[in-house]
Amino acid sequence: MANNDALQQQLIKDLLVESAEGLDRFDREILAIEKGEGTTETPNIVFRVIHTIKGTSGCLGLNKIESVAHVGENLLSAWRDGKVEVSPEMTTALFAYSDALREMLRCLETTGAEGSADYSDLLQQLQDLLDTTATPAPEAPAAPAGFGLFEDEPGTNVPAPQPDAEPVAKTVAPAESDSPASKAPSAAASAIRVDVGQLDKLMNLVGELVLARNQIVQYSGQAKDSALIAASQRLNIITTELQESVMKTRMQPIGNIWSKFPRVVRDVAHELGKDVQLVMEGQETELDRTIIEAIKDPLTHIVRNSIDHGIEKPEARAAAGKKSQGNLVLRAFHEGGQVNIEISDDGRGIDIGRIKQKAIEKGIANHDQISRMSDREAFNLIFLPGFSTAEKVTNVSGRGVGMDVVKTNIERIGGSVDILSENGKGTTLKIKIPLTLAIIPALIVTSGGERFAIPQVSLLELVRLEAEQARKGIETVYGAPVYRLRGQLLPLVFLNQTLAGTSRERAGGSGFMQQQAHDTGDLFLKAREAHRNWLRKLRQVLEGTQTMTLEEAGSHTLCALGKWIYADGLKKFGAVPEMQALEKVHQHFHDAVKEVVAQKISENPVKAEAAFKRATNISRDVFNCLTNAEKRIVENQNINIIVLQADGRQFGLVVDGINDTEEIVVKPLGKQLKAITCFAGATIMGDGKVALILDVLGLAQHAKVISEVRDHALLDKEESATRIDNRQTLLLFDAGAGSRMALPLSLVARLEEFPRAKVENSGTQEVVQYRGQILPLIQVSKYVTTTRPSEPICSDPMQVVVYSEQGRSVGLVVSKINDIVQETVTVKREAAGNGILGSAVIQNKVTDLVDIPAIIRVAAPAFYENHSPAADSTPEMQAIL
Amino acid sequence: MKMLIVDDSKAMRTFLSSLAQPMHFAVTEAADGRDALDTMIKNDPREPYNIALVDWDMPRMNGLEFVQHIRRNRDFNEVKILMVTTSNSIERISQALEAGANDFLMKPVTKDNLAEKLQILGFEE
Amino acid sequence: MPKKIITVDDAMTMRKMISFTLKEAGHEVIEAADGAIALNLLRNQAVDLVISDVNMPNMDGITLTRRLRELPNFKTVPIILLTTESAPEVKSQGKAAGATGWIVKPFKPEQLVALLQRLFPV
Repeated sequence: MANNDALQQQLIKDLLVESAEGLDRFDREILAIEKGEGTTETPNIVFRVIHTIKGTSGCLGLNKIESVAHVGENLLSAWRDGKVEVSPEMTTALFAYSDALREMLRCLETTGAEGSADYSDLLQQLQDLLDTTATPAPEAPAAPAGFGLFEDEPGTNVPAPQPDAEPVAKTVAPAESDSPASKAPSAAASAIRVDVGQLDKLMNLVGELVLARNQIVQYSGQAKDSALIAASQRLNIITTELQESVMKTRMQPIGNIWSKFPRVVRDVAHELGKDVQLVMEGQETELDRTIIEAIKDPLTHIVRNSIDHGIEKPEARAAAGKKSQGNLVLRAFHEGGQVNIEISDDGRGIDIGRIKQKAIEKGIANHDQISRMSDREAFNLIFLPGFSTAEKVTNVSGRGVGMDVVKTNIERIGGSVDILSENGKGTTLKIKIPLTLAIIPALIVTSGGERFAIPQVSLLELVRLEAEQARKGIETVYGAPVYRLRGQLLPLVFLNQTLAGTSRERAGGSGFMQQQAHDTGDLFLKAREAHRNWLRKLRQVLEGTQTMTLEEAGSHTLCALGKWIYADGLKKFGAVPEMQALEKVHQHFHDAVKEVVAQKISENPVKAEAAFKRATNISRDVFNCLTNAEKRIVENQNINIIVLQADGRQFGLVVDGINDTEEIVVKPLGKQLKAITCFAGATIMGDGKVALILDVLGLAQHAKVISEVRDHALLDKEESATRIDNRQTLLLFDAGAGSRMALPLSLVARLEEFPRAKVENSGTQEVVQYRGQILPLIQVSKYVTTTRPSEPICSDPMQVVVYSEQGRSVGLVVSKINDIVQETVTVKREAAGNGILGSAVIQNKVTDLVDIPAIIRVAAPAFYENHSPAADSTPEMQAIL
Repeated sequence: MKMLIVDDSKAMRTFLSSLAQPMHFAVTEAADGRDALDTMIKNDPREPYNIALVDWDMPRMNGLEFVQHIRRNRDFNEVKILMVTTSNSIERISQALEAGANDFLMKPVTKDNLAEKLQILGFEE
Repeated sequence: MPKKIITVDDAMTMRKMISFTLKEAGHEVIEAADGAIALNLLRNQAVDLVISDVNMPNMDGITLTRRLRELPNFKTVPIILLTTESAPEVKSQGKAAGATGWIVKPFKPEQLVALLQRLFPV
């Protein structure tokens, strides 16, 4: 019977689940007994667990499990009946026993068979415990022949039936309405077991319903039928409630996975000769079952780790003035739609020095990077692959999984992990995880005309820059666009470029956009002026001081604004609806103008005057259209930065538009798209179209933001300047072909790019207009003498290092910005003079240090006209020398 | 004496229970085979069920499947199983008896025919 | 000396196996499919030995034993119960009901013959 097979499979599944829960309970109770915290109920509880396993496995024909369970049941039954006293040997044997059962069940789960492991030693041990302590049951000796006669047995030989020996006589219970037996079904009826697959299916269906709901709500939003609107609102509310309810059915208290920790802690502590007390808070905190599954192993690993590496041995604790029993606290709570889990110990804490040393030894980071790290960053080193601070690899924490795997597993489900530690006092790991994975709140953004969803868990803030702000705020450092957000450099990723697969060249998105933003204002200024002039001309025509042909008047393409529209406007911004409106109004305007000229020709001044009035009215609309179009275009040039957190670092994602937040149903991606790390899945939007869900971590890695930032430590560039040590952050650049030069970064006000076309001449001095000032430009290569001949720089745009002193600035034109490094440099002064302070070996290459004041004195003497430079060179320069 | 009544109809369970209680049975009810199997397994072995009255057609686990599972466990060898059925189809009855049911009782169940079957199964009075 | 023996078992194979073994040994055998049938048969005829399964429909072996012991001509007739391996409670129930001995299923024909020799020594 196929049906029967399915039933059998289902029963085995239930057995596995129920037994796992039962054995956890078993361990907890035995642990309580060991601590002397057992109650009179304890033997009953553990007996029932084993009895149930035995009964179920028997009914399923699992004879091996049944017979192993049977032996334990005998011992537990004797204990329950007071025939056996509990002893340390017994609890240890019982732990081994529950492990043996688990092993068989696991084997059953994975292979479908009970396995061939031999437990005869363990069973013998249990049997011995029963035999040595229990009063032997007056049972007939096993007859080797397989049969026997009762008369052979010791004791009476009474064949006659005895009423009190009737097996069932004692169990007769009067039929009372409140007997426990008759109460049982009501308790059983209030809770039922549901197949997890069934719940998953339900969740999927609710997901589909949410999508359909979104669509209906969107359609009804455009509808006028009030009954439809009311119905869709009801559907909306009910769907939300249904979604919440179904989610709740999938919720499980975290206590379900914590329940095995007392046992883990006991075993690990025992093995390591440590004394650990486990405290658990917030066991009732609920999480989606898929998440519960996903965090089970990472949590276990962390707990083991805490005991192994965190908590000291009793003697060491005593020597440190702590109580000899260590404390391990597991805490779970809900906060901000997330679940927080904290694992803290009061052990030795993490020795930062040792971590750093280890990181250097293992080649994970160099001296430089290590010394710049904050404590928190250093603690987080333990999450890097291949890192282990333990002096010896122990059995307990083992080699298998490292903390990197723990971190990866937690991040895979959208969680994060952080570590805090105080040397000698303890360590706390903080884990944040989402409540569920199936339906998540997301921010919908637009880029390149497509919509994308960004999971809100990764979202820190939204920054909107007006075109002008963007032009000023976005810089390029080491070829990477960055934005200075509250003093911190935020690396930027341009979503459209990343998705288009274009590499981030130095003149990437930001440069182009900055330029464009700047030009827009001028462009529209020109348009307004052109139209105003043309109107003036029309007035002259009306007054008779000018002439205009009818053809000229009626053509909307030949007038000044028409030329602008069709040359600069529509060509560039034709897709902007406001521009199309402008075009129409402008055509309309010329109809009126044609009327003016026609009336003028037919010498009808009154009508001409009236037509002119109409034309001026329409021209007001033309101006309005121009303003609207400009607004929209400038708007389009505004930059939307979504500040995201990935891998413990922040970066800014630049998108075209930010739409809305929405609850989205996560759908897995097809095989073809799985290889692309930028996407975590897809979802269906209210209008039925598909939007891809961005994988923030993958995106950051794809854009190489994180690794680059790490490698080059750009984030720390301003921080390091204030540090009191002999290291310097230096900007490395090429002044001309092949000449390597360096300059303390602290002297650099900004790095800019200017198109060659913007360069003007003021006397002999090349200048550009820069932030309302005239910025003198100095070709560095002209004023320094190096060992290599330099050539004039002709790159376009020009790379300019802006140097400011006492409110004045100059631009140093260089051929290429190479890098920003932090190094301790030893300057040799032999090469000094002619704009050079000296030379040093940086990144294994001889590099000249530029003497900026010296160059300025020669190249732009006006800079120091009313004040002298602050001595021979700046304090920053002195610091190097 | 402990009796387990296994039927997916609440009304039928109540009815059978009302017949059995005056005969001094402590009655537990189960809504289907699974429920009954669970109840049996979790029962205290010191006070085993003496008899189960089992319906044929039930969700999740039917009467026949229940008998098959119960009889695989030697701990439940002693419990008497009385199938309660409307079907007089001989194959079904013999199937259940083969699987280990002790007897069957045709509906409509009355106080008398139940008492008669119980007596045959060894329950006196 | 041939004996008249009744074998009571709801499993036909088991009955046939026992019956065959005993007939080979020269005994007369009658069969019953359950305790109720056996009890009916034995109300009207005497036998020298009852070999009964415990678990049977309608009437089990324990009840059969008890009922037979109530019959005047069955006070001393040996009753052997077929038990499954390691079910001490069945044995004690059987003993309390008045059974004479037990034999553990499954058993070999030689064991059955040995049991008979033990019961009816020549």
